[in-house]
Amino acid sequence: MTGTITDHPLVRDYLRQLDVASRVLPAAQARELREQITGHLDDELPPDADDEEIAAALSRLGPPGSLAAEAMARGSGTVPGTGAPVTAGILIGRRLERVRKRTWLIAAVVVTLVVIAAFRTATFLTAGQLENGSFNYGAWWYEQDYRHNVLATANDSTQNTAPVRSGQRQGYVVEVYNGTGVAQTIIGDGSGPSIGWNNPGGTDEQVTVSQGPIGAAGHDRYKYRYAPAGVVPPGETRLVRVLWTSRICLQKGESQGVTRLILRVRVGWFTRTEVIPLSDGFYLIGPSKGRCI
Amino acid sequence: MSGMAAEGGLTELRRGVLGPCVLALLELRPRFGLELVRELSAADGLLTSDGTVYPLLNRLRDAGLVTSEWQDNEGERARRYYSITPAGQETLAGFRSDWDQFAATVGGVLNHTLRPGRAAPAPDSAPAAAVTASGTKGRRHDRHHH
Repeated sequence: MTGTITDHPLVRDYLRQLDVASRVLPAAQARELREQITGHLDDELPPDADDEEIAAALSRLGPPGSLAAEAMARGSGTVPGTGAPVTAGILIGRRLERVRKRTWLIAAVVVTLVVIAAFRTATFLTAGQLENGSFNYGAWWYEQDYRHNVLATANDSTQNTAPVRSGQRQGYVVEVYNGTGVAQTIIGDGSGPSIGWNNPGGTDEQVTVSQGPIGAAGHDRYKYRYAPAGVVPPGETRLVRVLWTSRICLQKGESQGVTRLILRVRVGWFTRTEVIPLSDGFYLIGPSKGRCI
Repeated sequence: MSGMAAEGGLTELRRGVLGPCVLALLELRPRFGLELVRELSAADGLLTSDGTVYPLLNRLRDAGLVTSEWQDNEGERARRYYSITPAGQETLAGFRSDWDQFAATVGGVLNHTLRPGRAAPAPDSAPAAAVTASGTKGRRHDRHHH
């Protein structure tokens, strides 16, 4: 015979039965018991033991189920000075107690997660969106557009109008206010082919958010640092800058503009697209010069 | 039927004394599992099955009464050796003391050399019992006079 005694079919079968019976035990305890029984057989039986010797050794060990039951009585009265022997009822009670403890723990974690998720969802569903109020600030970003801006009023709304500079970067900056009770994080440009764009007609649109509160610099748009994402805490404002390369082809007297800002915003665990009406629209007016599409 | 009941009682007795017996063997020197099994088997009737020693050893270790460590002796396969701890020695000493008294008491009752009601009372309770007896007697005497 080659290998160890644990390769013998009778021993393998006994150990398999022990594994099955030990399923009621914690994994570490079951592993330890198996290792002890394997070591015992390795010590007791020579590698070339015959079936009769092996069967006798296994019989002396006792039924696998009994060993597992003994192991389950951990902390029982067989330890001197700890009281009566463990009965089947106590064994079952201990097992149930362990299961109950584990079940309660899992239930507590699940309930906590559900409550948090419900709270977060409710927060998301009830939170209003960012706004650009009637008195909130908005201006062309580049100085030449700012200088040539004409404020026009049409249909009870005010429009910032600047000449289109075809093939060049143009843009605006607006103040966004968070009037809700929860922080909202602008994580990028929410515009696209299906919903429309944040520019009157151009390419390479870029949306960035001013970092930090509006402080002593006030509305001096160049005093702030801008990043692709930024948090707007409850009751605070941030500047959102939209830049693009103008491509629109406009004839003299023609104009095209935007009256809303489309942003991707994260509220709690959720992300949504917010369409924020602008109190003052931004319009480009023709004629287009240079490259236009 | 009575034989089966006696066997059941004996099994419970074995379970109760096996732990101290293991501690007593380990008191002499550290041993590995099969060594303990052989020693206990040699004491006739002490071990019902060889396998029960291992759960017992684990319980003793959990209780801090024994420790175990792997030893890799030259020419032999690695084995887990069990040793008694100071707490185990203390427990064993306590059990020895209790066992002597317990065995004497049980032996006395079983052999009718000691009746349960007249078992040597604890030294503290003896005088109190005597006082109560005489007091009762005295009160009964007074009542009789009236």
